[in-house]
Amino acid sequence: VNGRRLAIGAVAALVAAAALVALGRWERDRRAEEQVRGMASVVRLVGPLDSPQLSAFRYLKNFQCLLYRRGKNRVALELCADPAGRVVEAFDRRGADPRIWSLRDDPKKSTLRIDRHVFDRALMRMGVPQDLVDAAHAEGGS
Amino acid sequence: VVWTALGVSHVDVLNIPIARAVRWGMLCTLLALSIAYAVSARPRRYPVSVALAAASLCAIATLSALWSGSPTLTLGRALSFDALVVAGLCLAAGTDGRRREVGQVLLALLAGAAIVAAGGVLALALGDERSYQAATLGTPVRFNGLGGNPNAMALLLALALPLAAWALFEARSRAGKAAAALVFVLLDVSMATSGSRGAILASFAGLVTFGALLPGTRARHGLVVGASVALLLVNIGVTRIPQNADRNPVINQEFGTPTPIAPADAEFILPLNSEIGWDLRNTPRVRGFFESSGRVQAWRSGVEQWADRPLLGYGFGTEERAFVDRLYLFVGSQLENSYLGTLLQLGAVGLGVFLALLVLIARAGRRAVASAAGGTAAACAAVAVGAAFLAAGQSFLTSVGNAATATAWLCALLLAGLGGRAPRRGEEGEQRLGDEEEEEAAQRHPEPRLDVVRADHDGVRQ
Repeated sequence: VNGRRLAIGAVAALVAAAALVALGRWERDRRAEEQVRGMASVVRLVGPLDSPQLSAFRYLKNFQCLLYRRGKNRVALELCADPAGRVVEAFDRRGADPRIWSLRDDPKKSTLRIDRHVFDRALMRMGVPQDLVDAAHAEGGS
Repeated sequence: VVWTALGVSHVDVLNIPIARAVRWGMLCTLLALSIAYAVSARPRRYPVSVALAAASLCAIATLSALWSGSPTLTLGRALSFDALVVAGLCLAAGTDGRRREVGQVLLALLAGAAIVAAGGVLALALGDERSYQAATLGTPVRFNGLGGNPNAMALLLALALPLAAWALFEARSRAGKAAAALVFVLLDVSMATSGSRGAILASFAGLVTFGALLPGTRARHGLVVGASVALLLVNIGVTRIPQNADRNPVINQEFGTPTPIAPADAEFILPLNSEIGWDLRNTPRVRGFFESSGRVQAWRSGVEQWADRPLLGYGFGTEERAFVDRLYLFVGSQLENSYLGTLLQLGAVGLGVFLALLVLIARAGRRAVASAAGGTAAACAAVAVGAAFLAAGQSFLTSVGNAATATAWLCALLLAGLGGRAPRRGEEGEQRLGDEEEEEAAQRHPEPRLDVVRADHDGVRQ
């Protein structure tokens, strides 16, 4: 392999690498936007976080969730947020198959936020002890 | 192999605090020694196309840290994968297609698997309750060996089984043949009693491949293939012997029983990891040999998730983060399919490069099997085919921390090395060294000429 061919190969590899990175990042952003749009639709459906339809909660290590009743369905709508208040997952279970939007794997890409103070108050209203709510923030570093 | 297996074992405190750290040191040592070996051997035969495809896969895996949601995780896992692949390429390049040296590496891999299997038997003999998984309503008792679960070591043992068969054929002395036979039985019994269906089928695929590619007469092929079929039936029969329990065992009493934080705890109403198919919870289920354990649903779910980032995926090493198990029937953090797992991690581009690498290895493997390295090549091909088969039911080919991954990649890359470069246009027949090169090669590696080795393979003593 002569020097010229080696140089051309190296430049081609660099260009290909740059193109791959640009494409990969674009895909990541596009997917995040789609998920945020879906989660935003559930936020709108839920309305106020501490609404009377609040029916259940979920307490997990990296995020917590609030569930809302619609009709007889106790778990019809669900919003999950990380300790920073970013919405990372949302469910619409009003139909036969649940519709799920999630950025659980990439929470930093969620631009959708809820008021975490109101969210925490709703968790406590559902019976979550104060120390667990505090622990959630300690786990999440916020 | 041994340290990686210990890292996923149940052997306190050797597993998590020690072996998981030591295994990376071992990988770095393997890498350094392999590079030194390749440099000192001045190789000339390794197929460039395989090396380029492997380099492309490693490059995409590493670059994916720049579009991953977990860049540190991706970079760490990609670098460990790169290290394994580079080590495999260097080992293969260093052996320069010489079957004796390749055979020594295969023996080392077999020895590693045998030590792991023997450790499992020892754990059982010492009464270690973690060496087996107790029977439940749905599954019979299953042998873990040293593994943290029945599948952990079974994958390694399944891939090593054709190597034990190869050792049985290659051994010249009675003692050697007896040792190889003993190791074969040890590996097979450990694997069959684990009840790992994927491992049993993968070992069968590997053994049939070995039998079909082994140099020799048709009768010899038929004998090995027939014995492989018989062994498959015996292994399936072994999985049917233990009975399911009439009640589920009480385990981990020290952790207590999960209780809801408050009456409205949704994890006790509709658990997040069992949302889909939750209605099936009251249906009794018994694990059959051909039942997928929810894999088919998981694969469907994974493909749907892939469609959101189709070209380049979620980033190397992020399979268990990108795939969210919401299935009642499926218990696992990964897709349990290495091809779909690669698709999810690196998208269609990454899977394309991955499959291209496998095809190029297979092409080089065909040349290797047709060459004088037939028996050794058949053993490498058997491991590679077994791994490719196993990959359809387990996510392991891109996880260097898995006990079976190193064996799979090292054998596949050694196979490509045995095949050498494809003949260029104008070259007649199989690849040949020029007279001058052949003379030089003979001086560098004073070992039997290939045609003599061929005669030896056919059962004629030199």
